[in-house]
Amino acid sequence: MTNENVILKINEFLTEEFEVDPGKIDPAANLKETLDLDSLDYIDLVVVVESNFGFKVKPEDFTGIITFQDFYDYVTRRVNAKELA
Amino acid sequence: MPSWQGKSKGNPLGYRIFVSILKNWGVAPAYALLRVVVLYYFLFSVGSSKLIFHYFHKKLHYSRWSSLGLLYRNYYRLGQSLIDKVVIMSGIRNKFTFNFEGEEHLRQMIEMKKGGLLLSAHLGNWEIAGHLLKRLNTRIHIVMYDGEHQQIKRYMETVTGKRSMQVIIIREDLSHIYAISEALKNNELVCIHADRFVEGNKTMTAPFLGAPARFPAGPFVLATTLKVPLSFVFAFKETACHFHLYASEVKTYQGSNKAVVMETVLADFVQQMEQKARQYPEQWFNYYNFWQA
Repeated sequence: MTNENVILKINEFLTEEFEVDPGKIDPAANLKETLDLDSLDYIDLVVVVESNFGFKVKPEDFTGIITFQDFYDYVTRRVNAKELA
Repeated sequence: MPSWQGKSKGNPLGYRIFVSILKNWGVAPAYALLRVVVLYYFLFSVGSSKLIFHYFHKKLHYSRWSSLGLLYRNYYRLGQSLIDKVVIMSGIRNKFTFNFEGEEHLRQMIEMKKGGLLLSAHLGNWEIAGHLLKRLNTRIHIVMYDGEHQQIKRYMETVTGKRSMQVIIIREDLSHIYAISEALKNNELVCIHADRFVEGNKTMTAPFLGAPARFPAGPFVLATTLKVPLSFVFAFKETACHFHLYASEVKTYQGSNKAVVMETVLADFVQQMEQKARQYPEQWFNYYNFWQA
């Protein structure tokens, strides 16, 4: 899966699942603030990532994810790692 | 500010005195002293008394005199719930009896082997409920904010030992999410209070006792996202020595529209809460303005 496809897929499910205005999705924007995530909402994000990309999200994975770009990079890295495995 | 502030009241010396009485003389003298302590809170805890009085008088429509009586009973029940927790968890001799309405629903939940979500509220004595759920022979995890004063918490743990339930603390590092997922995968039960929210967390609004009230969205997100069997669980003190536990029929909430499913779970929860609040009015332990927008 190309990086562009990963980003398109992420944006698609974020728009659908979190009802976020697509215009607000910007690579530099803060993921938590834009999606209005609170401490229990992250479970929703974990579930949609796992079901859309088929890899398991680890507990420590979200600690370094601040912006949408961080999120795209993380998912792309995990998808590539899975394809190589 | 309408939300719960994330801390419970109390002072360690008070706890020490009660624990000493319980260990040396038993439950009845502790309840007797409690009546005096409660009088202090009844007379001088103006802020919380106003809110609870409002709940009895304006929401449940008791007369002013009845509401005052219920206010005293409310503080007394709260004190009893703390005493009972110490008694049961530290194994002090007692004459407590229990009946468990709907226990078969929770057994059915365990047989489904998908884990289960138990939604409860600060209505009645959830610590007792958690302790009694041990007889289901599965692990119970309770998801909570770490709101007790650390000093009191440390002291209580020296008396009662650690909680019999596994506690999943909601933390910034999101470790709770994985702890919840793991528990459900292992066919264990996860209990969460769905009535109090902490400022900054997302909320949902529903009519409760005749006026809109805000509820934390998180428990309803869990119910909708995880699609695991769910039951509403409550435990109430009916007499000085008798408890009544309730578990509702098991239901798995699913649907294509997440928002609609969340609203459905919330509506069912609120309906159960209303029914229990009317049945056990004095066991309402939310000491903040539950209805403020």
